[in-house]
Amino acid sequence: MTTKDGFEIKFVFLAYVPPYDAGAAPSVLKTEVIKTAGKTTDYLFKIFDASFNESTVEILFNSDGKQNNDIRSLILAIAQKTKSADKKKYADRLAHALYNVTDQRNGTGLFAVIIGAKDHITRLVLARFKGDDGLVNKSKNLLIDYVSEVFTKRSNHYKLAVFQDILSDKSFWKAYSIDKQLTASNQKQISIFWVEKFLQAKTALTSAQGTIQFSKAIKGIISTSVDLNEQEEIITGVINLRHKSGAKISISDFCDKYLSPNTAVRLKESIKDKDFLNSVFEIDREIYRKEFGKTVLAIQDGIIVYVPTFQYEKHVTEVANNDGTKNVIIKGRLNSKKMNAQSKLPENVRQKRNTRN
Amino acid sequence: MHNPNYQKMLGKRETLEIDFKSIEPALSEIAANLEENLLEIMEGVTHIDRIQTRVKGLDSLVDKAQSKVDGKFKYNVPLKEIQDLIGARIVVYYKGDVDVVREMVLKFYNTVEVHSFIPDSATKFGYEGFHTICNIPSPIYSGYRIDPLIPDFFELQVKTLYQHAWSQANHGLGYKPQSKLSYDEERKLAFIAAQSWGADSILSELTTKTH
Repeated sequence: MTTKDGFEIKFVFLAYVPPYDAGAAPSVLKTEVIKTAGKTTDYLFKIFDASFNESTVEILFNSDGKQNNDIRSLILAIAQKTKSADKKKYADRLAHALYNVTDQRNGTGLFAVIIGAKDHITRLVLARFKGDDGLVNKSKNLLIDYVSEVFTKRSNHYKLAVFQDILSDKSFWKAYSIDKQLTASNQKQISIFWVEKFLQAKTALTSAQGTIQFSKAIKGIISTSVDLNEQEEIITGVINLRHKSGAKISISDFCDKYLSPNTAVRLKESIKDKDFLNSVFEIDREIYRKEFGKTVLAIQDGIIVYVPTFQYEKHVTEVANNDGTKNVIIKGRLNSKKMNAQSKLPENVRQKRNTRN
Repeated sequence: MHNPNYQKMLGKRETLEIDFKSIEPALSEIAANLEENLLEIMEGVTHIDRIQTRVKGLDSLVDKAQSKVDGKFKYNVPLKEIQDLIGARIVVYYKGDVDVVREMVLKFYNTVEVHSFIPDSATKFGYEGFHTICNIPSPIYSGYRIDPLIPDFFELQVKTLYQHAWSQANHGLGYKPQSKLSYDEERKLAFIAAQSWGADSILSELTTKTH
């Protein structure tokens, strides 16, 4: 079997995975290897072909510090084994791993493993389709024709992870994921059930790295903006995001939720790397406070004022003028006055001088 | 069409050379971006002597690709399995600084391997250092997702000045890991390592007292 994009399909595996039941027999999972083309494969291969471009959240397997992860080992084994029976043995184990973390809230799912190869590249796609009552009732016979009906009903509801590499013992540490069940209004961009519990993985950007890169992107766009409204809009977005404790976000998500369409487009276009645009990370509060701690106001006659960003409203009042411009009134106790206080000496030299004095 | 022989071909020198040269500019760009990122995140961390990144040389890659374990080649797909094609090194003044830098590294990079090299016996002296295999963050990876030859990881080492001096000098002698040294040569190398270890330890004690 070959997909429209020219991938030679090596293995298609389906499993009916109900919620975990400690009392159920192990045979509760029904699995099947599909060897002939049909409606089901047509549907699956369409998803397979689109998976690499469609999945935008970069994920990385957790490691024990010695390059081991049980789920990755199963996935790699499915890809590396040459006999279909061996591939199925490991796919069964993977389906069981999914079963073990599936609860009633997740519901019944149809789990698919598809492997294809093109030139020297191997692509492995894992997908979980949301099942329904019908699927539960008919689960005793996992018929390919019936499965295609499920796909038709739920065609846009699935979680997916795609692995693509030149196959080696070090392959498949990284994947790209998508969760088509989550709505745009949902704060979580990834499914914890799918990425963290089942795959034993995490988003590939650390909180600290994500926050510092986010800061660079925001400061970059503000520094090139000549529009005061746009600058204010971005800074307001930064202040509002700070209140979302533990929020997982991407730059793309920030643009959609906190910026106007025009500013969002400008910020998105300023990010060269589109993977980074969709990389999800948790805000590191300490770095966020440090990176965005100061707002710099440039006032007429060359006046520059540094205001603590997150206490802006406490100290600054903005007054609109008739001509559309603004005046600012800065309030606060005056502690000292200095002349030429902004030294151009490097920080370490300044520290040494201060210590001597 | 799928070429089942590709993986074997990747092991051959000429294929390895062609493929490596095809990605060398990208590797250099990623290495430069990583160095900039490391400098940025280590800003304000004291006692850092240097932060460097490098792309592995072709000869070194070919040497490593030919390494064997129990008579068999260690790497089936060297370009994918050798994870130090891009290497980074942070050299710090004192032993205590290694922990500070290590914590920063683990905060900013996701890792798949973490290893502190120390001799396996209290009476032995040799190579010491902290090594880790880190994921290349997506802003630095920058658009290379579609090229499967571009590695996902880089190796980062953290060492003290003395650990670095010993390993560089030792490396400069040209001994390969598999070369057999005489008893006398091994003793001399261990002696230099012991001297470095001693200097590091005394400096650590002095700096703890003075700070």
